[in-house]
Amino acid sequence: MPDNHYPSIDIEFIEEHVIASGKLVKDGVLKIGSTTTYVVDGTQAIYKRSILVRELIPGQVCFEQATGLAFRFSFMGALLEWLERNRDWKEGAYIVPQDK
Amino acid sequence: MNTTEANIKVTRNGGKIDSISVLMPIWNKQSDHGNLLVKLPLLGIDTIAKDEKDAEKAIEEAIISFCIASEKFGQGVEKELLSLGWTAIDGDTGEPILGFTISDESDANMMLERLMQTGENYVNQHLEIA
Repeated sequence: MPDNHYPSIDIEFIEEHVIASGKLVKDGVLKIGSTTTYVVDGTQAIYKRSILVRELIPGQVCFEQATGLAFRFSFMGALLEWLERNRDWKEGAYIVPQDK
Repeated sequence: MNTTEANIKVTRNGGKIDSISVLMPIWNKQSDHGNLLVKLPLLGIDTIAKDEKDAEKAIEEAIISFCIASEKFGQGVEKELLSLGWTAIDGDTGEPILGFTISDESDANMMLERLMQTGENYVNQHLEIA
């Protein structure tokens, strides 16, 4: 697999952390087809309070959208841990087994 | 001279949004990772798609999501569009429409006008919301 192929992330994992952040408005997870929109609580305009992801592979969120959400909802540490544990991906590359 | 480059007409049924008719520019760009990045700048939305065909679906989903989120968690589609810079205009038959209008010759608007012209026109006469 070439290194420019970024790993995808389970949407369940993403959603768990987005909800746990406590920043969403009540029932602020909106699913239309492959698109999920997360709506943050507050009084600002909707376009400033919503952030969407789209599953190009069912159940998966692409790297760019996942990191965008991780920044916005402050779970980058958990995301990086998840990537290492589930995708063998660390510090910008896939982990290559070391020769003994 | 005012040029309306985009418009949205909202059809309501007993106060509840029923469908919308949309004309607005969108941009597609191939990402470094083989996806298509799809921008709906007049709605402040970026989404992604597998290819050109999937982009149609991505746009529909994004617009429907925006409408539902605006109704459910915001101040309604019309007011949320106003806060994105859209303005209320009168349609040909006098019905209320929201348009995105470029009105004067400031540098910012010239830039916007060029952007409008380079975008692809997305047209959907009847997009069911609910």
